Amino acid sequence: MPAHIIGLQTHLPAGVVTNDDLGRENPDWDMTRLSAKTGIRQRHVAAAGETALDLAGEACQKLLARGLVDPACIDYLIVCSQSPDYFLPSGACLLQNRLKLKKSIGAFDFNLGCSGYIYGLQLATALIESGHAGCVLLVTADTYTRFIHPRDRMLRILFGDGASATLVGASAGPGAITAFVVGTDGAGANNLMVPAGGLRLPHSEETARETTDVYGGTRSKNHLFMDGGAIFTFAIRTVPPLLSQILEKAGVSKEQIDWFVLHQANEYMLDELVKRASLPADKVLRRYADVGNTVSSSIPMALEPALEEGRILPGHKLLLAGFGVGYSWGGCLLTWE
Amino acid sequence: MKTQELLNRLAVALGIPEGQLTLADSTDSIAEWDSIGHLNVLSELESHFGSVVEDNEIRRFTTIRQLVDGLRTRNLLED
Repeated sequence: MPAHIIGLQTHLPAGVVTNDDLGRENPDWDMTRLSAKTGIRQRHVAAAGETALDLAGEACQKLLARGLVDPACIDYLIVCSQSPDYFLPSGACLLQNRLKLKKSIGAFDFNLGCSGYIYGLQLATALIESGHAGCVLLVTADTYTRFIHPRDRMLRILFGDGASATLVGASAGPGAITAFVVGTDGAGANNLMVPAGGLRLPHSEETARETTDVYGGTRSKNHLFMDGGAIFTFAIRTVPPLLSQILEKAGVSKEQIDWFVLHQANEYMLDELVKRASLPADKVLRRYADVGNTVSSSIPMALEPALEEGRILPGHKLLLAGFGVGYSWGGCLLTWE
Repeated sequence: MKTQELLNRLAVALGIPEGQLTLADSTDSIAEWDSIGHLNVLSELESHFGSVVEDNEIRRFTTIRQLVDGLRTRNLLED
């Protein structure tokens, strides 16, 4: 039986940092130019002590409160995050307890960033279509802002915190999640990473030493590093062929797609991808101006308002694609039910 | 593509008037060549030459002349 999305819900932390806030804090930053290029005017930032799992819990509780399914029917809880509460145990186990889901549930985490929602959908679909689960709760949650140095201009502008919860179930109708295409190139791992803090390179005086790059961005090895040029090159070389592969696998043409929902990196990146993949701009969902790049949650962040506003209708074909840290990428075709 | 056309295209990509970019310019002396300007340069080169020049190579160039010479060695420029 094909899988479909029963419902989805996002959650943003209450704290908001606007571009004006960043400009006041850093008078030497040209916020006008950066705002125009990134298309991001504010981002939500988790409060001290508020973790990705807290955001995930809120998203799940709001979703379950809608009564779309009996929580007892949820057979698997899958959590995608790169901002875990602990090395161990899994956030999914903690979340099972917080949500008071049944104990006969499978629960596990996986560590991916901007491609994570696609991989989560593929895992959920596989569990349902193989008969191992009737309903899967897929969660994405990240607080990248915790990893960013206060003087790293570009990263502070780009990233925001957020979470999503998606119920995936067996479809009795035409809805389906199909034509998955995924890819990995670990050769790009160093271009988007937090170098220190894991077991390979524990925090130390050395890793805390700050450096400033040629563009004025300051960070230490304890902070998030992104080689913007390398990531940009990766994206413009990888995503257009990815979209073509999904279309080919699905046996549909670009013209048959109602909505293209790409990872919401920022306006500059999306504009480049729209141009290079020759996508119809009016069919590309965008949601970054008020939330920034929310990493694994960026695709549901774009889907949610489009659903609420009635732009996505039953029968619509959506092409989803995520790409980023790893390098990791993936996409699929979603027929809305 | 000839060198002058490349210089003009790079100038447009960086948001500076055509004709104002010269081979002698050092990349760090061009105010517009910031993190976003760098992406604009990458985009321009990728559009016209494909995936033959890597980002880390471009970042090693300290002058426009080095960039042009790098393209010439790949026979990507006509002069």
